[in-house]
Amino acid sequence: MILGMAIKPYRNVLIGLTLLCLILLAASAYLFFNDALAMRRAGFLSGPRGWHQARTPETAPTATGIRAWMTFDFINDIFDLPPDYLKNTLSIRAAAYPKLTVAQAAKLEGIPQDEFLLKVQAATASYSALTP
Amino acid sequence: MIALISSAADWFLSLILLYKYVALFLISYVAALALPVPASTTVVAAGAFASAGYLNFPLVLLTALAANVAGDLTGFFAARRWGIRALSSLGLGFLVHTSGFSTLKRYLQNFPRLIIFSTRFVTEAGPAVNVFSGVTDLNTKLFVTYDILGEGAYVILYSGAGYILGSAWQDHIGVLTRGVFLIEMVGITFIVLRMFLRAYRTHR
Repeated sequence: MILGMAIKPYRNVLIGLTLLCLILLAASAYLFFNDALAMRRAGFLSGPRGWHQARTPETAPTATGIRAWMTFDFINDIFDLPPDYLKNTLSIRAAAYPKLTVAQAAKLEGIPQDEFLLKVQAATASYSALTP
Repeated sequence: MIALISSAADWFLSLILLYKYVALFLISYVAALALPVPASTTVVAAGAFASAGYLNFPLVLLTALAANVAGDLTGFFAARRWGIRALSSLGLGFLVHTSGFSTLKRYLQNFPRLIIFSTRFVTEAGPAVNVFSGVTDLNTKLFVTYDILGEGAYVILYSGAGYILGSAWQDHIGVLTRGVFLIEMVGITFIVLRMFLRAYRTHR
């Protein structure tokens, strides 16, 4: 009897914990599959047709996707820009170019970061538009 | 606060672009050791940068795996060698004799493979399990084996996701964190259900 009374609260805690885990498991499964479906609709996870097809077109980099944390080296590389194109177009004087970020360059040039980022995006977009 | 976290994450991404594999190794190592740095985000990003051809994907995998395993083993062996002594010198030596410590030790001894493997996916829990495994003198071969397996799965999952997502990785990183949470919940529910069934059988 005494043992039964001691076990009862422990059992209740375990029942509560099990139910909580099952609810959290169901919720996390729902959220995950919801996201996975959204990705499938966006063109990812499109099954056995091949990864190369699944990776287009959303993974193709666009100039608006350039961020302030990106380095010029990286931007030149992924957009196939000539090494000094952005340096000349934006009149960047920093000696560290292209091994510096857009944010660092904006600071060195004394231009607000957002304004400078828009200039980088515009210059990249205009080069991409000119080259096939 | 969100802006601060976001700018810190941006800083780590810049480091990966500037110093490539060295930065990836140091960030992953420090995160595996204990410090709260966005290691998972940087591993996904490194996969995405490899997808763009800026980094080499097999090298990303190897660097992240080596750094994570090295960080975990540093925590494990340091705790094994100095853990109890450090607790005593901090006046926390009594913790080793508490029932909570014994319970945690029993769980680790009952489910070492599951606990070590699954906590490799949780940046916050992994270092604690490394230290606890070291302090409780868990079998070294067992720890190293499941650490390498877990970290291997973690690195392939995260950097592979970055590689597949490419430049869209920042838009879809949520699915990965939710997927990992789902895996964790499966593990936790399994342990709790086992405890429940064991208690039910004992009581009956």
